[in-house]
Amino acid sequence: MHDVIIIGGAFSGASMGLLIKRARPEARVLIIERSVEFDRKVGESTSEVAACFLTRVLHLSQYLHQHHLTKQGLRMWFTTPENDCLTRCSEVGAYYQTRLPTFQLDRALLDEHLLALAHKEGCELWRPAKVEEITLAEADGQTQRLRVKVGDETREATASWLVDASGKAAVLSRKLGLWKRLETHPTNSLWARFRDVRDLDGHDMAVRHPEFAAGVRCSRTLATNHLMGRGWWCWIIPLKNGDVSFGLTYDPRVFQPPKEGTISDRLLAHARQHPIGRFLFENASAVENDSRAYSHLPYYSEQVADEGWAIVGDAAGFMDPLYSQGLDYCSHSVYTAHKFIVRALEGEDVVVARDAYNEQFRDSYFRWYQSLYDNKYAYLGEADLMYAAFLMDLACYFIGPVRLVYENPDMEFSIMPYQGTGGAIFARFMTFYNRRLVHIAKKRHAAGADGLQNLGNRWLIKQGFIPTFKVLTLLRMGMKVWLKAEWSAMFLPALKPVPPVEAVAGKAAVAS
Amino acid sequence: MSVNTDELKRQIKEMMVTELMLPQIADEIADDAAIFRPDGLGLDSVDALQLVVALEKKFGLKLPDADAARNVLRDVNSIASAIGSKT
Repeated sequence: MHDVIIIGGAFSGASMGLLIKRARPEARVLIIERSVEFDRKVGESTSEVAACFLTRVLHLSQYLHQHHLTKQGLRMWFTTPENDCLTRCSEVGAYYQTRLPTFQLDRALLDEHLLALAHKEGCELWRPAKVEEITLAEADGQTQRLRVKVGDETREATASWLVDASGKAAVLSRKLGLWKRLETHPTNSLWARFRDVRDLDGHDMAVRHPEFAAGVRCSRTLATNHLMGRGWWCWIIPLKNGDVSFGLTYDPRVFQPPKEGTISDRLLAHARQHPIGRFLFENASAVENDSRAYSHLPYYSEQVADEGWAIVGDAAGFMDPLYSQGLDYCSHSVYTAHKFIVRALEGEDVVVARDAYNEQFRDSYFRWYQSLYDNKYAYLGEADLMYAAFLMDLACYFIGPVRLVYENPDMEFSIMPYQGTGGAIFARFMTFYNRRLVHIAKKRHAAGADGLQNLGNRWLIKQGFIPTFKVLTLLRMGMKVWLKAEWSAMFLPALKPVPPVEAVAGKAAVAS
Repeated sequence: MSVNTDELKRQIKEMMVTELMLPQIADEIADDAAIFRPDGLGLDSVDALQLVVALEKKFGLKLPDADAARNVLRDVNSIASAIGSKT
């Protein structure tokens, strides 16, 4: 008999095990991990909240700096179909190095390290092991019961708490019929890993384009570089071993990627249509057996906790990798659930906390969606609109979630983000300007005026994003860019009303 | 039908649920459910890409071109027999 069984030993499962053992060393924690070794995953780039969790809650700063790269912010590149000159591409990003730590993670390495740490600090580990059957406590009124195949042996595991941290497999959510696609955001993702990718800060670039190379006081290569277009965006994430993770996320209602060849062939063909991508990937080759394709990536679990069980991390939901916030949500859900599980193990009644987690998860997920991603793919290819969004989205992120987790990590990670009156007000404001930016982009597209600011602009932000109210300056700057776009859009013809389009024909039918 | 074939089909279905993020559980997938038809599993061309990657990674089944993929990726039965005839 264990106190807690955790299904999945990657980032969320291993963190959960670690946090429970550190808070309550006598707890008997079992982690069941299916793989012999971890696959690489999307989301290698962290944002500030996840980095705070890794450095201030799990205290992995030294490890991260030794084995992973420090990230230098987000940088976006825009172009037009006829442009073939990389120095003409409009650029949005930082001028100086970033102010708070963030990382370019090799997830396979990080997950192995976390799981080894959880094992070392007292969690029992069954690996490779596969959960064959789950019988929840409702059935026998006492314990969560699992039948697990460990190698050739079948074992039974029992515990008072079961945590599903199985990632996108979402075993418990699927078993209970709680798993739902976010039908209104039908984005697809393809990604692969490449070697021999060129260096934006390298000698080659400095010789070819000295003015461009000297245009910033930071490393462009260490940023998460995004290639941007209408209905799609690509991430370019450097890793410590020299490989580069390259992925494409797109809305198939607006954009279709190249259709020939393997995943990596299609990605390379797409990258080479963009001047920055052409430079970077001219001689690149794919790392074998390391590619993925996801159709309709965003999903969530309708419920994330009940009597004796909790769902955390990617098993609870995933939305969009644009701002690298996947690990933020993993951090919040793991920490929130570990708090009430530890209290329950100490004999407290945790019904209120458990129900609050359910309510907060749902509120937070949909506020996050409405504020940041609802129809955003309509304006991903508009440089000035994305510049406005970049300034306002990030300023709101720093004033809210980032400031709060740094001020009081224990309290803030114990709830899901975007809570309370402040969270609701900011979410409304963000939802409003996001809708306006969508509207402007649609007007431009209807008038054939796409991408007019996509060449010749170098929007480099000299004042770094910091988690204090000083960042309001950047919010005001973003609002000015937005209002300027509103003004110019007034002179475009009004949009004709369009009947709503069905989300996705095939999969929507399966899901319903 | 041998136990091994049943076990193989179960593994294929579990792989499909996990790798393709299907809303249903493995037991709900029929052996003869058409993979790409809306009245079957309703998968799309992006799912097909991942299916090809996952079949090679997990079962060592290589589908070198679109014709081979079209022949094999009809339903769980056809995938199982392609994996079976490989060994």
